[in-house]
Amino acid sequence: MKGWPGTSEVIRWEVMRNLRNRSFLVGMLLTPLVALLMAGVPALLGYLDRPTPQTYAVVDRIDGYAVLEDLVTDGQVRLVPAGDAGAAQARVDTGEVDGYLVLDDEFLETGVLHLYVSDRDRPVPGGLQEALTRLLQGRRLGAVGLDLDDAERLLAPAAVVRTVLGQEPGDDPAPDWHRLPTAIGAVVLLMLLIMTSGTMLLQSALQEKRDRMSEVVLSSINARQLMAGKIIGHFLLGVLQAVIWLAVALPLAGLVFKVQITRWIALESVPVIALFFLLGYLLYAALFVAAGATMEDIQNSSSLQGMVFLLPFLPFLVLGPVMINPTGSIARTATLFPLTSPVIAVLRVGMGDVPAWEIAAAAVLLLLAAALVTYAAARVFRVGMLMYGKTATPAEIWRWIRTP
Amino acid sequence: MGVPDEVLIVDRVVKRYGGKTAVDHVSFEVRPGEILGFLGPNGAGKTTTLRMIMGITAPDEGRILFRLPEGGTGAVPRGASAAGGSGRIPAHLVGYLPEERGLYRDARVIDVLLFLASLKGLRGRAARARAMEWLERFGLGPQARARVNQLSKGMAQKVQFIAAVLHQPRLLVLDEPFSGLDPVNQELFMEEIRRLAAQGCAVLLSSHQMNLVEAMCERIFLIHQGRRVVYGPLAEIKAAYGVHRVRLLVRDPAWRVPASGLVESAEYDGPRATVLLKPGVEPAAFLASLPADAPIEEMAVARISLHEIFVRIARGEAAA
Repeated sequence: MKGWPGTSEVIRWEVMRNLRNRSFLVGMLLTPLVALLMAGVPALLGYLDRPTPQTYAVVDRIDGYAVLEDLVTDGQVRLVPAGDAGAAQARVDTGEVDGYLVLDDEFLETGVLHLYVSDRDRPVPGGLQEALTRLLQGRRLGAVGLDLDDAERLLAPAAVVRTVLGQEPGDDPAPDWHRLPTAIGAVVLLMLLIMTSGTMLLQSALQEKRDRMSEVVLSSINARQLMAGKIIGHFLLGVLQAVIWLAVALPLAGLVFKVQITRWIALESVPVIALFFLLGYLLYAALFVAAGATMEDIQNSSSLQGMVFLLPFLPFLVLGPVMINPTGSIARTATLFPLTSPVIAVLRVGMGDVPAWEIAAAAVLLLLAAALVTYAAARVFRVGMLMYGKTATPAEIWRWIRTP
Repeated sequence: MGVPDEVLIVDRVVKRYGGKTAVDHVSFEVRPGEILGFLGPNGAGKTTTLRMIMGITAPDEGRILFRLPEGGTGAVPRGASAAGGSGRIPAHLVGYLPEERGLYRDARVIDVLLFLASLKGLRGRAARARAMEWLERFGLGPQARARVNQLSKGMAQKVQFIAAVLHQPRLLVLDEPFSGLDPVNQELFMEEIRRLAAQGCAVLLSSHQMNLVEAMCERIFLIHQGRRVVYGPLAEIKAAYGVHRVRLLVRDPAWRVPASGLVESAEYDGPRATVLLKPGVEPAAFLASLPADAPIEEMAVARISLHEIFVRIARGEAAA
C-alpha cells in the first residue's frame, strides 16, 4: 500500500466523512444564507426606516421655481408653489406642508435662505440644499454672462496622460481594471479556504488522535500518505464550499449591482493567481495539520500553536502601505516573503504591472517555502500523531523536525 | 513453494529513546498457525517492539523480516527515517490491534470498517460482505449503520477487533487485546483468535494478563526491562522454571511440615498449608519425606503459574 493508493483512500474518506456530517453540510449551506442575511438585513432595515418625503411650499419672487423643481431629484423633497408667505404659513399650520421658503433677491444677494418649518427635529434635506446651491450658482454666473456648463469646464481638473519614452503615445495603457476585482476575489477566497479548510484540517488531525486512530491507520499507510490525504481531501472540501458559495454570491452580486460578473474577471491573470493560490494553500495547510498533530486539544494549545492561527493574517499588517505605494519597498518585500506573498503578490498583480522577475522570484520562493514547510510538517506529523495526552513543547517540535 | 517455517523474524532488535534502551537485542520468530505469547509487565518494551514490527517506529539496530506467503515479504528498515508508517511492510497481509486504539466516534460502524479495509487493499462489495459477515458473527449486524458513539464499550471493542482481521491477515499482531473486556467478551475474543490460528494465521499476542496467554499459547516470549527473559515452548519453560506447589488440608492446625532441604517455603492458614518445593524437587520425593503419621486429609500438587514464574525470574529468584 505505497504511494497514491493509500493517499487516495484517505482523500475519499475525509471528503465522504464530511459530506455525511450534518454539521459540515449545514455549515456549508447555511453560510451563504447567513451572508445574505448579513448583507440583506441592514438594507431592509434602511429601507423600512427611510425618511419620509418632505413637502415645502415655495414663495417665488425671482422666477426660479421651475428651475428649482427640476434640480430637486432625490425623491425625498417635494415642492409646491405658494402665492405669498401668509398662504404658505397657512398651509404649514394645516399640516399640508412641512415648511416653506421664499426665493427673493435677498437670497440671490446674500446666499442666505430661511427655511420655515413646523418640526424642529427635522433636518434640512440634503437634496434641497444641493438644489438651492445650484440655483444660486446658476443665477450668479448668469449675472456675469456665464452658464453652469462653462463654469464646470473652467474649473475641471487637469488630466495627466503618461507616455513612456521610446513608445508611441497611448502605448502605456492604465492597468486592466478587471484585474483588481479578480485579485481581491482570489484573496478573499484564499483566506476563506485557509480559515475553513485549515481549521478543519487541524481538527481532523486532533480527532485522529482523540479517537486513538493514528496507530491503526499508520499500521497500513505511512504518515506522509496520511498527511497528504488529509491536505488534499480538505482542499477539495474547501473548493466545493467555495464553489457553492460563489454559485450563490456571484449571480446575486450581479443582480444587486446590475453588472455582468463575468466581465469583472480578468482571465489573463488567472494562471498567476492560481499558482499563488495553490502554493499558499499548501503552505498554510501543512502548517495547520502539523500544528494539529502537536496538540492534545484546542484548549491546551500553546502560544506557538496559537501563532499558527495568526500567520495567515500577516499580509494584512502590510496591506495599508502596499495599497498606498504598490511599488514601494514594503510592497516588494511582502511580495517576495512566502508568508505574505500569496496575498500581496496577487493583489499587486491586480493593482498594476509587476515586473515578471518579481513574480517569478516570489513564486520560486513560495514554492521552496511550501516544500520546506511540508517536509518539516511531515516530520512533526509522524511523531506528533502517536503522542497522546500532552501538547508538544517548542523544543520537542524542533527535535522532531531535526530527526531525519 | 511450501509454507515457510517463520512468517515473522525479529532479529537482535534494539530501540533507544534518548539515553534509555527500551528494547535491547530482542529476537524471536512467529510461525504460521501458532499463537506466540509476548509477555511482560507494563513498560517492559512490548508495545515498542510491536510498533517496530508494524513499521510505525523503526529499530535502531537489528532486523525485522516478513516471510509471508502471496508475495508478503519485506523488512522494516533501520534508522528513524523509516518511522511514521508502514510503508515497507506487507501491510495488506498483516493485521494490527494496537494498545492505544479507538474508532472515529462520529462515523458509522460500516464506514469505519470499509475505510480501514480499503487501506489494506480490500474494497468494494467483497469488503462490505466480509464486514457484514464479521459484524453478524459478533452479533453487531443491527449496529452496522449506527454511529460509533452510539455503541457500548464492548461493542466498540468488537468493531476494533473486526477492523484488525477483516482483510484476512496472515500475521495478526494483537497488543493487549483483552484489556477492558468483560469475561464474556474475553472468552469470545480468545475463541476467535484460536479459530484464526487454526486457519493458519500466525498470531503474536502481547499481554500482561499472563493467565489468559497461558491458556492460549504454546510458545511464549517473556520480556522484562527491554530484554528477553524466557523464550520457548510453554511446557518446557514450566518444566525448567516451574517448581511444584503442594496444597495440604490437615486435621491439626498446629501441625507443621518438617524442615528439609526439599521445601523452599511453607505458609499456614488454619488447617490449610501451602508448600512451595525447591526447583527440581519432585512431588513424590516430598511425599516420601513426610512422617507416616502426618495428619493429612487432602493433598493437591500443581506447577506454579506462568505469572509466578515471571515474578520469580524478574526478582532473580529462579535460575535463568
